[in-house]
Amino acid sequence: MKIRDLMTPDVESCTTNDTLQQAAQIMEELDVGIVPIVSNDGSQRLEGVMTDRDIVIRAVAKGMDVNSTKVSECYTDQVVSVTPDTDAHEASKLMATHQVRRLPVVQDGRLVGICAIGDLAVEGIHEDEAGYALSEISEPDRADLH
Amino acid sequence: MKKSIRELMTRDVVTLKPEHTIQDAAKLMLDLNVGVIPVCVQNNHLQGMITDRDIVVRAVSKGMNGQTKIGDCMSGKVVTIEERSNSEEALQLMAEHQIRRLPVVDDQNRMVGIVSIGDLAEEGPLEDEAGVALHEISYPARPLGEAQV
Repeated sequence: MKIRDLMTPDVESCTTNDTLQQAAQIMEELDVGIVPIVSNDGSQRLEGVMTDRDIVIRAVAKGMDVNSTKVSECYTDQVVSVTPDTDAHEASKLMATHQVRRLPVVQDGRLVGICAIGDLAVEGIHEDEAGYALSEISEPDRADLH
Repeated sequence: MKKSIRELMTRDVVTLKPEHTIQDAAKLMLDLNVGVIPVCVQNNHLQGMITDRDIVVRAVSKGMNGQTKIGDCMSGKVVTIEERSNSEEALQLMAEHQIRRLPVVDDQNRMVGIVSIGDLAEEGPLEDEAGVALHEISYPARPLGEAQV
């Protein structure tokens, strides 16, 4: 099964111009530890991702003002992503290899969705692979998420 | 016979006080590459834990800056284990609560160390009893000492 059939198409994202406070609020409301970052020109072009841990060790540890510091100063621009045509098995391998639980879904450079490990697990047919991925991923340690 | 947690735990633990700031906590998390730090008051009485996630969802999301006190955003409820317990009990707690590090307390709730899944793994083959625990939990113990912040 392809990612397009499993992903969540409407995905909350931040732009590089949002503040850390706004990004943190999204993480709190959605109960997630990572948000995709898109360019702020309205194109939805995926620029990278930012984790809760990025905010802590790159901004709070350095005393940066969370209300004025922009996402652009603290996100990670190296990002592992999939396309809607990626096979679910391939996606679960990527998650295991890179120790992530959520992958941005990108088409022609634009963010079109997000695929969480749970989306794969509910498929049942991927249970082994998803199980393997789950066993390789340690939630609280998000230092090397991307 | 299983070793007691007292024999397996790491003794010198970096802790912070509730009156330290979240910037202090964030710096330590960066320096030690950990995501959680125990918070103690006088005589090492364990008061709570502060995680990187607590800092984001309880402080940054509300616009609170680095000078915010840890006491204002830490988790007060902490799962602990007594130093007289054994590795099996520790693994059960870790699996049940999906955590990989447990603060170790004495009978007065004074923090005397921390035990990680890695410390327990040295005990021997844990595959069966660890089950879920080993799948979900794998955090290296950190060298610890008095927090200098």
